[in-house]
Amino acid sequence: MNTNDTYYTDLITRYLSGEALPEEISELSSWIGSNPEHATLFSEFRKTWESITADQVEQQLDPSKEWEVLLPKLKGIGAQGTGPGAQGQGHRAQGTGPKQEGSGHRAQGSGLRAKAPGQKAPDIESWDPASGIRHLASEKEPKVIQMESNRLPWQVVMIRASLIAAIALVLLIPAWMTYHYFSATDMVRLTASGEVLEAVLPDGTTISLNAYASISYPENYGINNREVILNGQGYFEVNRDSLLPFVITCGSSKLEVLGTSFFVDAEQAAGNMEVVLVDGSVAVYFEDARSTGKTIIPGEKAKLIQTDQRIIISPNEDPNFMAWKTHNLIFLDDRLDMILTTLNKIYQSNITLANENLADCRLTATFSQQSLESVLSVIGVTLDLQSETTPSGIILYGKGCN
Amino acid sequence: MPNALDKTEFERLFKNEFKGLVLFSIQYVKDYEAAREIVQEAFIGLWDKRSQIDPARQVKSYLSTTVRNRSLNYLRDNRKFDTRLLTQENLFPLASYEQTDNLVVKELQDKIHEAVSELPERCREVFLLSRNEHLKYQAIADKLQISVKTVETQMSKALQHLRIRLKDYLPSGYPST
Repeated sequence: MNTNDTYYTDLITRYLSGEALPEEISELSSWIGSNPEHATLFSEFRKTWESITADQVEQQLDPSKEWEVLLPKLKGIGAQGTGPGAQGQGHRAQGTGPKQEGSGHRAQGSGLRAKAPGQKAPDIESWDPASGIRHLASEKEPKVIQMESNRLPWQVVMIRASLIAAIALVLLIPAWMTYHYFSATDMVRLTASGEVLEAVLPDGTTISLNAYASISYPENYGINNREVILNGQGYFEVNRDSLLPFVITCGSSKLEVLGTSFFVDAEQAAGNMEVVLVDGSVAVYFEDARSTGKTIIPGEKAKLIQTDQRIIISPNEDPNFMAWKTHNLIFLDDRLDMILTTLNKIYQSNITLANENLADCRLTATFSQQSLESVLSVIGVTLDLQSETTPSGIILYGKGCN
Repeated sequence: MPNALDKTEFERLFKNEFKGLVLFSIQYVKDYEAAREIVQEAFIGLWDKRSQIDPARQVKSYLSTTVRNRSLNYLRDNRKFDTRLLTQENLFPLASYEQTDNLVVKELQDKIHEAVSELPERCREVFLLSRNEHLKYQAIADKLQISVKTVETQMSKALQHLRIRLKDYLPSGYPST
């Protein structure tokens, strides 16, 4: 104890009243961590403070007055009910290949022919948004991404995504290490073959597994635990249950939610976990080190590195991270080689460039649930490319963009 | 999306949830005005997005999530984000809004007021300026023409007294994980 025995009482009080400086917060934190009795004392103070605050908020806050403050800040409150959410359909594509004025090639006419047998390049004017992957499209209303001039397109994607609630992308690796974790009970295992598998877990949580992904959970799932092991990509809509957190385990890396929706991408080979959150909340931590866990803020990405137990948080910069399920794609002045990397991942295709200069071509376009042929056709028209389908994949030819 | 929130429903939602959400945010930010601001902003955001949110299912979770994230952002931006403290306070990695949903029960309320009235006069004065007027230590010091150190001592004295007096009335179940 400090010689001055009110020192830490003062510090706790400062902290609770919002007076503590960052250094003092660290000091208090260390003090609490150093002794369980300190932690108990702190909790008592905190509990007292909380009830006093609750009492004061209860007595002082007048929601009617607060409503009067809020009202002028609401947009278009006169016009009742109808939101701005008119959902357009279709796509727009604009080439920004060669960097010269007025160069934006409009995507029109049919240029590139993807020589898939028995299929001709679709007509640009009449895209059928449902011609994408049907077993996906049938599940929900088509979501369309459209660019708006006053917003970054990837934010549009994020807003659209929040329709479903909270979304995260996770790379979980290696799942096999965790099998021993559940070895006491029998495991149920679901595996998606060549296409997306939709399933409902015993607690009502719905999952979509991307091709070749699998999920395992104990037979008593939903009764005294909600713990799963995932390998591959999945989309989860977790039913809220504040008593039983939903946990995805990957080695010692863990992801925990009470109820939310998120994307998960688990690769067995590399040994790490990656989470991208659009909305909602997800906690990530390592087994036995829960207190050093982190919560992701929407728009951020967390990477868990198992070997040195590190969690790195950075902004998510990939607007297409959930395109594997939605087949909604957005490219904003992106390089063609990067675009092909994305397409190959989403459509599990193998599209390559005939020559290196093509990689520098840039494209701005959005696609909504379109087939790979449609997408390639738009890209071909926009950048003046031809394609050839070979047994090993599709090759793109063209003069290139300077 | 059908059945988007209309103004009447939005107003009702606001009036029902405002206090609870402010209290939720205060737990993080420890600042009454900042918490009010955060909750106001959350409702403005909800209004803008109301056509995209299913009023039946998602509104409360949207609000609590937004308030929580904004509160954490506030701590981060002010360099006051401390994982261990937040964990100790049961605010991290996950905290549920429902915990704070039901405000103080009458019996506890009476006890709080009783305990506050027992404080020595100067101590009570300082404490009430902080709690009811939301004044910072410095502002209290200026107003009462005393030193910040005295304000601090009085505040901590008040809280110490209240902790002992209210101990038996506070909800148990504050697990320190």
